[in-house]
Amino acid sequence: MTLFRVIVVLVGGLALLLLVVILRAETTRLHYSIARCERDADEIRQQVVEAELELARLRNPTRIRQHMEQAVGPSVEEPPPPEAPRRRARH
Amino acid sequence: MRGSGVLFAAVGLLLAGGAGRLAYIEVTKGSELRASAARQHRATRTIAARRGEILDTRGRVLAGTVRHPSVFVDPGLLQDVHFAAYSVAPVLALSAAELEQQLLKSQEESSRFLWVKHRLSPAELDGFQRVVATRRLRAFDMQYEPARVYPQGKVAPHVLGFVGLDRRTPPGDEPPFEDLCGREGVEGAYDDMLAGVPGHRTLTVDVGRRAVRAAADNFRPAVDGATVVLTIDAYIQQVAQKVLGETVKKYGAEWGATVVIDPWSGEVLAMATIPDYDPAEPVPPNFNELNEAEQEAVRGRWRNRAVTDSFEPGSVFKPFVASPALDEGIVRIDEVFAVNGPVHDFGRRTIRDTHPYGSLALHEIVSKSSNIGMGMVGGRCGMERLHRFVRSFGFGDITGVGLPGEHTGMVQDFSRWNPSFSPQSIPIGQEIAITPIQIVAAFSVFCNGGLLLRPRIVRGVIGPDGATLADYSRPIAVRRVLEEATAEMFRQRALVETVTDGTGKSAKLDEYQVFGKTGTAQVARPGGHGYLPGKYVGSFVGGAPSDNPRAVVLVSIYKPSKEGYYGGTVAAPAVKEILAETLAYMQVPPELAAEVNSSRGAPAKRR
Repeated sequence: MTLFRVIVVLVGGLALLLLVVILRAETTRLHYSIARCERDADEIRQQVVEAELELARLRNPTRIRQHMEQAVGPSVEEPPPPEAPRRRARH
Repeated sequence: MRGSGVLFAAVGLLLAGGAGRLAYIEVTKGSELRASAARQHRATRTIAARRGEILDTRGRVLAGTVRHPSVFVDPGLLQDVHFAAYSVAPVLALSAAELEQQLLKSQEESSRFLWVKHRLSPAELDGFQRVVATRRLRAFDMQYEPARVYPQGKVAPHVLGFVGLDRRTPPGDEPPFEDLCGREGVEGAYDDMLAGVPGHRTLTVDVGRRAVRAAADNFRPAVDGATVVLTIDAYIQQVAQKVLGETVKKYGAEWGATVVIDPWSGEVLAMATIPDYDPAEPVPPNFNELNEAEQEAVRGRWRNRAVTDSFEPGSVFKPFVASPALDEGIVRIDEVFAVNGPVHDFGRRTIRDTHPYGSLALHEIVSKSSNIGMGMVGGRCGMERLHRFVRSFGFGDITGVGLPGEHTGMVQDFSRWNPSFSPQSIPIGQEIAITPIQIVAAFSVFCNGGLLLRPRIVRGVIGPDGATLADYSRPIAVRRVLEEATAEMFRQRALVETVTDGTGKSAKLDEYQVFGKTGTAQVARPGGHGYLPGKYVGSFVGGAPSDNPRAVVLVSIYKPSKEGYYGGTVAAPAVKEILAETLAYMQVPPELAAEVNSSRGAPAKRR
C-alpha cells in the first residue's frame, strides 16, 4: 500500500466521521426545533383555553344584563295607567 | 513503502488498543455505565391531565383550569450567582439582592431545586425567556402549574367547593405528583372524574435537562378530566346569592340559606349560603396568623348549610302533617276546629298561638299558622301515623342530592316519642330537625302531583372526547306521598291562602299567584334541653305560579338580630324577590296579568 493510498483511506475515514458528526449535530438541532415547536404548540393550546375561559367570564348573565342596562336602559316600558272611566253624556 | 507500513501498523495498533479498552469497559462496567448514561440523557416526565370543567345547566363555565408559568432554578448548575440573580431578578420584578441570598443559601444546602417565582405575567415570561436565551442561564427553567379559575366569580361557591395542590398517586407503580385535588362540594365529590389520568413520556435531555427529543417507546398521553354539568343556573344562582346576602345583612343574621328547585324534575336551580367565600381563594393568605376562633370562622364559611345543617323548622313543617292527614281522610279541608286560643292545654302540654283565634277550618289553621289547631290535628292522627307521615316526606333520610356532608336531619326513633308531647310538638315543627334541602324537596310534593322526587344537582358527566359518561337528567321518583287531587287541593286552598290572607302576605307578587308557608322556630339549646331565649330561625318556603308551579324557593334566616325575626317578615320578601326574577328569567307567562287586562276589556284567561 502506497503512502498516498494510506493518506486517502485515513482522510476518507476522517471525512466520513466528520459527515456523521455533522449529521448528528443537524439532527440534534432539528430535534431542538421540534421540542421548541411542541412547546409553542402547548403554549398556544393554553392560550386557547385561557381565551375560552375569558369568553366564559364575558358570558356572565348578570354582567351582560348590567352592560345592557347601562347601554340602552331598561328595555321594558311601564304600561300606561288605565284610563279613567268617562261619564256618559246625558241626552 | 516501509515508512507507510510502520505508520499503518502504528495506527492499527492504536485502534486495536482502543477497541480492546472499549471491550474491557463493556465487559466489566458496561451495564453500570449504560444505566448511568441513561440517567443523564433520559428523563421521564409526567404529562399532567387537564382538570375537567364544571358547567351550569346552560353550558356556562363555572370552573375551569389554566396553567400559570412558574420559574425554578437548579442552584447546583449556577457558576456565577451574582450574575444570574442580577440578570433574572429585574425581568421578574424581584429584588436581585434577595434572590442572590436565596441562591447562595440553596447552594450552601446543596439544594438542586428552588422556586424563583410563581404565576408569571405574559410580559415577565417574555422577558425571562429572552434573558435566559441571551445570557445562557441554563440553570433556570420554567414549568407550568395548574390553577383553578372561576370565570363567573363567586357563583355557587358552596356547590362547587374548591381545590388545593396536593400529591396525587397515579395508578400503577408511577411516583406521586403534585396536582389539583378537590376539597369540598362538587370538586370534592367528583374529584376522580374531574382529575383525569396523567400521562408520561421519556425524553432525551441535554446537560441542562432540556428536552431534545421524545422517545417513542415509552409514551402514554394524558386523558383530560371529564366535564361535570350541574343543574344550577348561573343567573338564578346570582340572584339568589344577592337577595340572600342583602337579607342576612339587613336582619343581622348569623347565616342564611336558600334553595331554588324545579318541583317537576327535582333539579336544584340555585343553592346558596351566606356568609360565603371566594372559591378562588378559600383560605386567606394570612390564615396561619389567625387565632383558633378566626380559623374556625374561615372553615365555617365553607359549610354548605343548605345540606349540612339541620334545625327545628317550626311552622314550615305544618303542611307536612296537615296534607297527609287530609289525604287519609282523618280531617277535611273545610272541617272547622274549635281553637279557642290563644292558649290551649293538651294534657301536660300547653300550646300557644300568636293571635286569639276562635274557630278555624283546616285550610285556615295552615294559612294562619295556628299551633293549637295543628295540635288538634296531631292529636287526632296519633303518633304512629305522625311518624309515618314524617318519614314518608323523606325526613330522617338524606335526600341524595349528591353533595358531600349531607345531613339526615333528626327524627327521633319512634320508641323515644313521648305520647304527652310528640303528637302536639311534631305538627308544629318541634322535636324534629331538618335541612333546607329536605324542606324544598318535601314541599315540591305539593307542586308536582304528590310525588317525592330526589333533588339533583349534577345533570351529567361528559368525557373529554364528548361521550356521555353519566346521565342524571331524568327525574327520580322516591315515592308517592299524596294523591294528585290532595296535593292540588292543599296547594290551592291552604298554601295560596297563606299568601293571600295569612302569614305570608309579604311574598305576594303582582304577576304570579304565590303559595307557601311561613315558619318561625326557636333555636334549640346545644344539647337539646330547651331553647335559647330570643333566638329564632325565620323561614319561608313557597312557589309560583299556583296553577302550574315552575319554581319552589326556600329562604331560612338563622338568628336574625334586628328588624324582626318572623318568617313572614325576614324570609318571605326574599322568596318573593327570588321568585319574581326566576320566573321572569324562565319566561313563565304572568298568571295574574290577564286578570288585570280583563278589567280593561281583554278576555280573562288564567294560565
